[in-house]
Amino acid sequence: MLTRVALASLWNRRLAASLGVFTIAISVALLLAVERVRAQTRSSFASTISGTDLIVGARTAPVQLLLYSVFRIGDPTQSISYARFEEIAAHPQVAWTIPISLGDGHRGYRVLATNNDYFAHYKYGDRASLEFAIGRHFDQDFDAVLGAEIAQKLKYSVGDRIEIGHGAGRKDLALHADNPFTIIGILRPTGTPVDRTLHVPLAGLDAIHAHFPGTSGKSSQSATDEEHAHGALSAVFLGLKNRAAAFGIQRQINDYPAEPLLAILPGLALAQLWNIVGVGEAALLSIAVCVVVAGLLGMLTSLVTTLDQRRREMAILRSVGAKPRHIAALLMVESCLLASLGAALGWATVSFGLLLLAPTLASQFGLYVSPWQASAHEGWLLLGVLAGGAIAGLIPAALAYRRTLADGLSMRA
Amino acid sequence: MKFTVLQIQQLSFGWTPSDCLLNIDHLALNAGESLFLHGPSGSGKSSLLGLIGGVLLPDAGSIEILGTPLQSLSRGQRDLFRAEHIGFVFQQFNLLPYLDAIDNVLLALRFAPQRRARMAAAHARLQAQELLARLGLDDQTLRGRKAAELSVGQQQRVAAARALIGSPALVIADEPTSALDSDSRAAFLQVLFAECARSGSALLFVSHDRSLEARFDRVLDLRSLNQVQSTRVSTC
Repeated sequence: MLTRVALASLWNRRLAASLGVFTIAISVALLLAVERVRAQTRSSFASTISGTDLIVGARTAPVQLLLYSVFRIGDPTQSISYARFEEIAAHPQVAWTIPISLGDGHRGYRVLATNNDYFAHYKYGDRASLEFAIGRHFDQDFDAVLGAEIAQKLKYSVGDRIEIGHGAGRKDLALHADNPFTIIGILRPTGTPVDRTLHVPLAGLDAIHAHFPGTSGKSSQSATDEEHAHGALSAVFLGLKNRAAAFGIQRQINDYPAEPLLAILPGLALAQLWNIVGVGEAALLSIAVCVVVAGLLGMLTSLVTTLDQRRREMAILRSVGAKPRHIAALLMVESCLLASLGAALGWATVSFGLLLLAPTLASQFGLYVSPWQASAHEGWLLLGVLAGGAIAGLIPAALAYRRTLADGLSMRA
Repeated sequence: MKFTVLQIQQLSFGWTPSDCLLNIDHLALNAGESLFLHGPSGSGKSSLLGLIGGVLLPDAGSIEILGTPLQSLSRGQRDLFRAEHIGFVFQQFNLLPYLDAIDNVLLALRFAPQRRARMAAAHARLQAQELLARLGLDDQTLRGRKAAELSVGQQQRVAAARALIGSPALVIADEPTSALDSDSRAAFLQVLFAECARSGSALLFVSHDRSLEARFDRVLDLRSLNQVQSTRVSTC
């Protein structure tokens, strides 16, 4: 009956009450959106590469090596000679290698030169291999394999001929013309930077660089060409026979006497990188929490303001024997109900909102957010909102409690 | 059977120790009896009703209802006691505007398990309907209407039904007719008397409108009852 009275009373003030619910709903939606994008960005981030035990590059900062080799962000400043790569590949502990060379682009997308070991050994997510949606891996020097997104965005299909140029800008600085590559395969979507990568054989890249030893007068470019020509690599992914050996081999590579090299464990470097990104993430989340607190304070304000108008209601309930704690419970029920409705509505809003926005997020920002994938952390956040609603309810409840004791049965309004 | 419903002895009460408001030597009310208590505003009527209702406690003296001294009960027990044995009708705005008439009447049973048990639970709603019908509010008039949509006269009759349901020993009416016009005032009093007689409840009726007093068994002036009167500032 008390709940029914609370419901009827709320219904009687439904306009003000629904505004309160909407305020909470919007703040909760914001909180959950931040949390979902955060959690799923984090997991998609961590699943960009798996199965690779070490990444080797020229000596630089570990995060930088990770950024250019895995995320295609930034450019390698130094390269590893092909001879070093062969020495490392010959190490008895090494099971497989993927040599990669970066630096060229095609209409805004990065070109990654590698060999067929890439398609055999590169893994992402939960040890998923790359799969071909159509076509096959390299056969000729001038074959090209596209990531899913490039194929879709640039509307390429197998058999099309394309050119590549220096740099990843939309207007490629210098085209290695006359040596067009032929698309022979398109990969299935992975939700990783592989989707935005154009893959060509190392031999093909070497060939075009050799063909144009000095494309222009710019020295930096010709230097890069020269390095390419000698078969220099940007990085090498390593798979080991025994993962436990990773630390030992990492040390050996880092201490390599002939050439300054750097080996990183992808998992550790990802965690290191996430620590940097995590500061912004924590800031976003705390802003969202503050907005929720503001929403609950809004509800609190309206509950406290209505207390005065509801003195008569309280006196009537007192006259039929309601104890002060019943009056307090009435207000607690009310605020918990408002907070729950707001939380539920906020959850629904964010789920449907992401349902609508998910395709845009994926195509525009490369954020793969599933609208239904709720994390446990999210559950805790929702519980926190409900607890906040209950705590906010304590204030009007305490006020009403004290007031009913003072007012007694008098009907002053 | 004329047992004593309400007995007040050597009562004194003040909001602050230095300002004594009420000092009543003796007041008793028997079952089935009706008492008209009048006095100007500020004479301590509301405080007296608060004391009888067990919401306030006297500084000295005792208030017994059905032989139970209220001061011997805890605050929660007094709330329960009030729910079980007293029905209240106030001046106006007696109802929760968002409940319908029947639910407003049944509200009186919500916190009073014994009173609820006195009528077979299944019949509470039916009895509330019958009671409302006897008070001149048939189902046709009330169906689907929130209390706020009723006229003031209708609202007061619903309030009377709430005070009377489950036959409490004492019905306290605090200026229940002051918001009514003279015709509905007379009609309201008539049904109130009839229902109190029917349930054997004692009626304590507080008003400053002395034109009503002729119908009551006893008439008392609070100013003559209260020994604190002319000098407002005195010590209890």
